[in-house]
Amino acid sequence: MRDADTIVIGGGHSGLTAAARLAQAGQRVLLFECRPDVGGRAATLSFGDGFRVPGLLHDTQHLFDGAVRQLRLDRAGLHRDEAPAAWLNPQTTGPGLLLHHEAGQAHAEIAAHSARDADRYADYRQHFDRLRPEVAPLLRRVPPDPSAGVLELLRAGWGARGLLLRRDLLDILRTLPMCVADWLNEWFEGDLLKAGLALPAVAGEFTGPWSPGTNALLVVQNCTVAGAVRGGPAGLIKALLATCREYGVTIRTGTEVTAVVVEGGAARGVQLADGSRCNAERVVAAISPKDLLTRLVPAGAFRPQVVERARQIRTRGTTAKLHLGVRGEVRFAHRDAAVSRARIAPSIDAIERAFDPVKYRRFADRPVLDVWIPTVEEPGLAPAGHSVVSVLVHYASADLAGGWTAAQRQGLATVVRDTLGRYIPDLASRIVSEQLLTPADLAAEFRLPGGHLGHGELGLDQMLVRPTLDCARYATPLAGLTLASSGCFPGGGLTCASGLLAAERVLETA
Amino acid sequence: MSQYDAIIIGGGHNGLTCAAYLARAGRKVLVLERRHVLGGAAVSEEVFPGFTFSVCSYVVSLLRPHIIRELDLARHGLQIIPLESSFVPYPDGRSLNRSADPQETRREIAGFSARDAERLDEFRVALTRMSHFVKNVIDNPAAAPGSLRPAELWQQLRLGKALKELGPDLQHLHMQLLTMSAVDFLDMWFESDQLKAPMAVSGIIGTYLGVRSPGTAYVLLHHYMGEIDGAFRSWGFARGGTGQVSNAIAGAARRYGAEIRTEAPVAEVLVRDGQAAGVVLASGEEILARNVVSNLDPHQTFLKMVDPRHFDGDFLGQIRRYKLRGSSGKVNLALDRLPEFACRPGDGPHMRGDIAIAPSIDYLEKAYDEAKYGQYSSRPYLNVVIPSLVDPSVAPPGKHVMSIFVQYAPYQHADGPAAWPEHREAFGDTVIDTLGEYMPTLKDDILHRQVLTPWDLEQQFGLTEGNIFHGELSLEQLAFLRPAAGWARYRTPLRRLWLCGSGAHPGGGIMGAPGELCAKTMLKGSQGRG
Repeated sequence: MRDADTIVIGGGHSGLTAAARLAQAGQRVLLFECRPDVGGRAATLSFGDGFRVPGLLHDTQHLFDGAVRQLRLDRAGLHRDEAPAAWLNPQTTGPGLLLHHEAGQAHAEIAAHSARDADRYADYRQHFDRLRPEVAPLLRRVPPDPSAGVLELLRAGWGARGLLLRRDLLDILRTLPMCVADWLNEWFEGDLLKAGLALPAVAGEFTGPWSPGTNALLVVQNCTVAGAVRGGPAGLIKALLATCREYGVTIRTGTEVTAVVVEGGAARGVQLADGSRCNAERVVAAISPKDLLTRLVPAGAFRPQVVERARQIRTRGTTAKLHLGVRGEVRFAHRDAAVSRARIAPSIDAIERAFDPVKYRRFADRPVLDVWIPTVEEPGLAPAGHSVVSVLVHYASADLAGGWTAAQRQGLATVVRDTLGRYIPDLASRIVSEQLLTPADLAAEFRLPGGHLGHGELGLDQMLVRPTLDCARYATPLAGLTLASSGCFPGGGLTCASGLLAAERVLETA
Repeated sequence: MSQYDAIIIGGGHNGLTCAAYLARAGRKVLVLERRHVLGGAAVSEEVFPGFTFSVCSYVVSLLRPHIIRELDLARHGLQIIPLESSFVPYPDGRSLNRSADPQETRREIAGFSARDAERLDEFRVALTRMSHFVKNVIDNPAAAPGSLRPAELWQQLRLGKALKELGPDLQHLHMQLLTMSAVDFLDMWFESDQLKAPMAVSGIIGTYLGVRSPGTAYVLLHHYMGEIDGAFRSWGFARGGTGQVSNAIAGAARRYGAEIRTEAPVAEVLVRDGQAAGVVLASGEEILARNVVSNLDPHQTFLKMVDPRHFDGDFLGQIRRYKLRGSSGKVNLALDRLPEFACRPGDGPHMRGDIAIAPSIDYLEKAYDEAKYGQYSSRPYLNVVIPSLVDPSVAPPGKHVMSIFVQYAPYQHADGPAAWPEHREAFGDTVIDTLGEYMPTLKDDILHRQVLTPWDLEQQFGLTEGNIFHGELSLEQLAFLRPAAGWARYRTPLRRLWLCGSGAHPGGGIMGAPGELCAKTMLKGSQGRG
């Protein structure tokens, strides 16, 4: 007896997206989430006495338009800002740089540091504006199968013709394997600008700005960036959840899947922690592919090589999270207006120096930070008269030498507070609540083997073939089992692309 | 009236190779070398009386076998003695020697990890298969993606076919080799640090990258290229020093009728009617030729030898941002007697190959970290050879020469490149101290030492920023991008000016490939016109 047409494992943004799409197409969908609430890395987290952070991750600016349209998320209450958010790269002794995305708005702030950079920033934005229509679609469709026939490759080539026939194709190809430091140095001279632009391309990865290949991520990010979702990641989850409900997805939270059930050579259901079992025509796994392929699928369901390749997916976590509940408003030094987003990265070399220690399984004593103060836009996240500061901390090794002891945790929290304190006067005395999530905590809490927040590092090789050679197009070698998480192409961030594309693959073959 | 079909600026091994191929096809060729000795960075010099050093490049890496054959280099005195082993001592007193004997090597590796010893064969087979594919790439001019010309499409189709024949697994492996770090790649196969560290270093030689930097896996292949060319590995000594490679090629070139002048520094390329027409020597002498071929690196060639107004801004921009970041130095020692390793005494086979001070991945990565911020490594990676053990002609009886390649020594020193002379001796001491930790008597055995910092390499050998490969071998500067997009086929935007050095595809090392491919491209182009 079947409990559903499709079982979805994992209620993060990818799982909700896949479930909503399949239900929209008329399937009976049953979704299991092991945490008490859906949302995964995008769920609202509570800490201290009445403080909330609307998402472990901060960035919703790379959401796939196709998913918004297909699932009509706007009708479910999804609002997006018109333009990507401005961010501040603060200084201790000066006003820092508040960078608006749009070049015209950004001009004056950049010019205060370098007139040359201010002019070049317009070219920089234009470079991506021109590249975007050719690159973005490639990141929003099922990747081609290189082992398929010539026809498939020609079709892929035709799909990419805009890019392939560009006169500057060679130069674009040149930029992808570069390191962000070299490429940004070709454009700009100002440290704050370069470091602020570079940070997202290395944040969360086991790379620094001098690591080759990091520029590919910069290109991908800049070709997909748009306005942020109101309410942050939690706003996205709210809309996805409403959509799932509307289409009749059954959601069971607090329910742990312990195994995929294989019958007659196909995935036909899941085993739950309470010993019960649910049957379905197929299983869509929107969890870490490494975890799924090496742990949840019974031995023997795959050729050993399939499992070996999954084991080799690099998932080294380098990000910690610090949440602060603060009395009063949070203002950066030398800034009159409240700023909700900041990147604390004084220079490219400062980012690189923060990266160095993780190679030796330590954490940075001068970390670089991605700071979000969600209460600037949504004061209700904190008790009256208080603020929330959410900090993504780079870099800290998930696999810390000697382990994450109480002393090490205290050490990390201290360097982050001290770093913030240099830019936010009298912060220390106003902290009323604090929550530190080390990369190891995140790995355990969010089921992220290795601690990488995107279910797999975004090195060039793992971007192009994601998560493994055997599962690069969402389907796995096991009939009835499909992958949908950010561990699949195109990876990373809260895009909803992999969830939607996986569902489309299921519908093609269903 | 041009007296020559081609003038070649620079008598390095690629310039000489180019000259030999042109002369062999009946062209009238003149090679102009600035120094008193031929070879460029592939040079042997008697630095101290009785002691002959391969001053810069110290092993023959990937000299293409067909070049040796086609130019009959053996007849001109080239004799390559293969390096028989790779030896690494560790601080804990253990050591690892990998040799041509697979069983012995397996046994040595098993001392650190039985699993690694088992996986070695599988690794070799996979990489050797990859090497066959890569041979297509380095033995042909670079492909031109995006071009719709039939000849280009044909070449891409052939490359595509070769790629397809690899099958999905090896295609994937190829992509991983291109993009992964040496350490990440080796992690997929091996577990012991002691094995991975010395294997990983081949990925960083001459680059300004660390073993954990993406893109360094590719060079691992180079060790297997040699296997398919018929030797244990691609590395060997030239009898008489590396300069003998250059001398043999020069011998071949002369036999085919090429003229070679030393101590003839070129001041600039003569341009007439918008095309290269000859050269002006530093002495003021003008020599005309129908073609000018530069064996200098792209910066020297395009930014110093030719008036910039002959190039458009876009091309010059590409050349200016072309990266030549020297990251290595060289220490050459004349030794009174043969020093010994504390962990493996004696002059056994382990002393006759290449010796690496690369005890762990972290050691190598820390060496790189210091270089990133403009300091030479306080404990550098060393690659040591003692050629006098296998080739007694290079040292007086009973004495030895030792050649130490040192990384990292960033040209861009934190105090500026010009500060290098002040740091030279301290840098030399660091190298001796590092090696001395493993060879306790070394300091007492030294008669003379020559320390070459990247700044010295620039001054003495004309290598911009001391970069031994005429430009970093990073993906964005390889194949169709070397040295500039659209100009990877030895031609340059200035008509009748050609580039034949390591700054052209397929890049650095003693391969001879850029010189050969440049000559063949020139000859092909002139067939119709006679």
